[in-house]
Amino acid sequence: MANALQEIDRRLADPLAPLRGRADAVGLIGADIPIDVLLASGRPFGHLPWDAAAPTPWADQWLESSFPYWARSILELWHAGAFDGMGTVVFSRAEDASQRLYYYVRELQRRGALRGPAVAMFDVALLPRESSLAHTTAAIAEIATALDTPVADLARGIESANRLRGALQQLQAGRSANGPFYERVARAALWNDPTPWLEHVEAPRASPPTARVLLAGSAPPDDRLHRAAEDAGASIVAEAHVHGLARLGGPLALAGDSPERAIARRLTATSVGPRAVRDRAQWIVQQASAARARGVILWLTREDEALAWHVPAQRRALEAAGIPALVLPAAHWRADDGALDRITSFCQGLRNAPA
Amino acid sequence: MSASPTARGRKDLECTAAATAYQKAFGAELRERVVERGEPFAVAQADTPHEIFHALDIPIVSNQWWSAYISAKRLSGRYFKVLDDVGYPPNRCAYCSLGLACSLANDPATAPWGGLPKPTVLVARLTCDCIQQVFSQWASVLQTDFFPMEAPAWTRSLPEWYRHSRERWDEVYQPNRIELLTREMRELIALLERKTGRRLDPARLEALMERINEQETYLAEAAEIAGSARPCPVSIIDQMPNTMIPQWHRGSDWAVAHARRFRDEVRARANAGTGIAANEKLRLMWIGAGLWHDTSFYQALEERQGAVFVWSMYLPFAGAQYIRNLKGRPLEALASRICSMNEVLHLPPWMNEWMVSEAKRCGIDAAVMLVPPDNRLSQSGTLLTQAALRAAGVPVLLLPADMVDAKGWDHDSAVGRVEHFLRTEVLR
Repeated sequence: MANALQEIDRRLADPLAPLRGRADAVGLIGADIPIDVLLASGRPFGHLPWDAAAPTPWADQWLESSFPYWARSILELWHAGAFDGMGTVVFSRAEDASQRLYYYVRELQRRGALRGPAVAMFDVALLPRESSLAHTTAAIAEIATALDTPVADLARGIESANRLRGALQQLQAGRSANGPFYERVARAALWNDPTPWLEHVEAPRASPPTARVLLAGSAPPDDRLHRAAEDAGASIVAEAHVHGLARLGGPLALAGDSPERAIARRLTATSVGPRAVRDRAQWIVQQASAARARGVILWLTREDEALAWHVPAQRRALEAAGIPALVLPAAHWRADDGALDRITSFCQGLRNAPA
Repeated sequence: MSASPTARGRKDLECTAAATAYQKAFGAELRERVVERGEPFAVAQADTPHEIFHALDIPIVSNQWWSAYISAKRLSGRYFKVLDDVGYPPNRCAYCSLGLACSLANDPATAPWGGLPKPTVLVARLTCDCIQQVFSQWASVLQTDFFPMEAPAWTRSLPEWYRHSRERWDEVYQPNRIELLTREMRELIALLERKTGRRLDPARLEALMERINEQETYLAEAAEIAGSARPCPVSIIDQMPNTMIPQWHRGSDWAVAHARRFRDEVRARANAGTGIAANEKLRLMWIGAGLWHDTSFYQALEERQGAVFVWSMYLPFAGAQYIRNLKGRPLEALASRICSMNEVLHLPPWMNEWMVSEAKRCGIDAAVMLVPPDNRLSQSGTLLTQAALRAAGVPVLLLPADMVDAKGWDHDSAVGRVEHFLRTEVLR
């Protein structure tokens, strides 16, 4: 048991270890960059890490006030040389901040103000329409080419990714407590290719089932929200945001499509980022029901202004479904704005309320 | 003493009054067609292919124009409160949501035109994460269709895009982006034909595109004169309406004629040596959307410091971004006009490259850049552009203010900040 915790925390302490000094390493920024392609490439990969505690003086010179903190932190680490030696960083167009950061990094490199890896864009188009599906299919082939991966290898990538999807689904299905542990697993699996180690991860023995909670909205920097819930005797057992543990969904079937089109179709169907087209009121109730949650924490950072437009409908839907909700809009990403105390008291209330 | 919330600057050109009168009459005619006669109409963002609607004779209520119209009626405060009451959190982006708020308020007694009737379609390009949320909810409130258009990544282009956009638009704007928007425009045309029973005549669209080239050429010539003549014959207070109002009607007989009249009046003033200010000493650049609620701000330092705002993006944008050699492919040429209309103004390197080039072309002494608080799209590229202009020898003042929401605006303090900036960083 201790091994699983140590393994996860070792990876979180130095997330770049598997990528360091590898000229073929692939860094990722943003959501929905298809893991099937990354696995097919055979290269070491991982979403670039952020450091929630560190100041970002250099990045603040270039990023305007509405850029999220994780983007500032990554740009600060980039400038400090943390990603030097890596081959490529792929930015995603699944959300505005990651796609806009691509242009800023490229311009700063052009001006000689920034070194580091070459940049590429995964130009995902999420409108549920043939022209967008075709555009995303082509973008997947383009990224595969940028990573020197023949499109013919994508089928193999899907197989590897499906094994990973199964392992993540199994881990998710077994959650009943230890929210912080699962958040750290999800982050380690985001920052590092999880296929070599995830199957060996065994969740710590669960303490008696407590109030199950769904966390939805923005992705937090680490497990601080999960700890606040756990300390109150409840447990965040599922996440409905772009970097949640179950973000890869269930196995992907080709269903007669080419591999790249099947991956594109999956992205359009399952993306939860701000550019995804979905009924988020219905979706949050489904997620809460699937997690058998007794309460929902809808936590939205100030910079996630697009998701703010769904708060009224989500509130009404949860109320209609009889699911108590704590809605924290325009929140600080570091949760140093009283959010943790409000989460703790909300969870205490859930725990004490009759089931 | 702060200026009244909608203080208007002095207009020097005769044709400006003609433009605003035309727009006023157009508003009344639009209302009659849309509200009284119930004709099909579209609500569209400014950076969408209006040409398609013009070619189908479907009137457009541009979201930006409708927002400015609501602001001019001093209703924005009331409607932002409606969004609060519905429960939208405070960090929602305000720039394109006034129309939604007006429709949500559903109060015909106070709404402009009694509120918008049901449009045939809403159209927007997804240049940020908020637009699809606002427009899809607005469409369901109005019980109509929302036709979103992708804003795909732009990874391959040409340096100095503004020199090549007329001829080499395939290379400047990236073929697969042009292809995607062309496909989307064909789908939009099919939707409009299905819903209105009208048919788009390709020849009419091509003719419209040629007329737009003529109009934009007149505006480009006016921009060239405004940049080269000393003293500057036309301030941005006259440039903005004489550019933007014809842009809403681009390619129409009125718009083409008005653009020519504007160019001629600018040329005549330049030839006569007539300037905006009696003692033009400092030529200033305004970067960002126009300060619609207080255009008097731009003239506040003309007498005291001879500081003249000679450049804003609207007029020079006409030549750089609109004129297209059609090369027998009018729909693709149109797609190339639309597919980066926002990006070139808000993303590096296109934004900073153009600003530095324009500053040199127009002999700019200093720039004042609008930085709307907490609006990633409108703020985008400002810090990188500030650095590029400074490296080119042009001092830059960042002015935090909102272009439509006058709530936080203080005229005297803003003028004071510019005056201090000019004294300490420009006139040293």
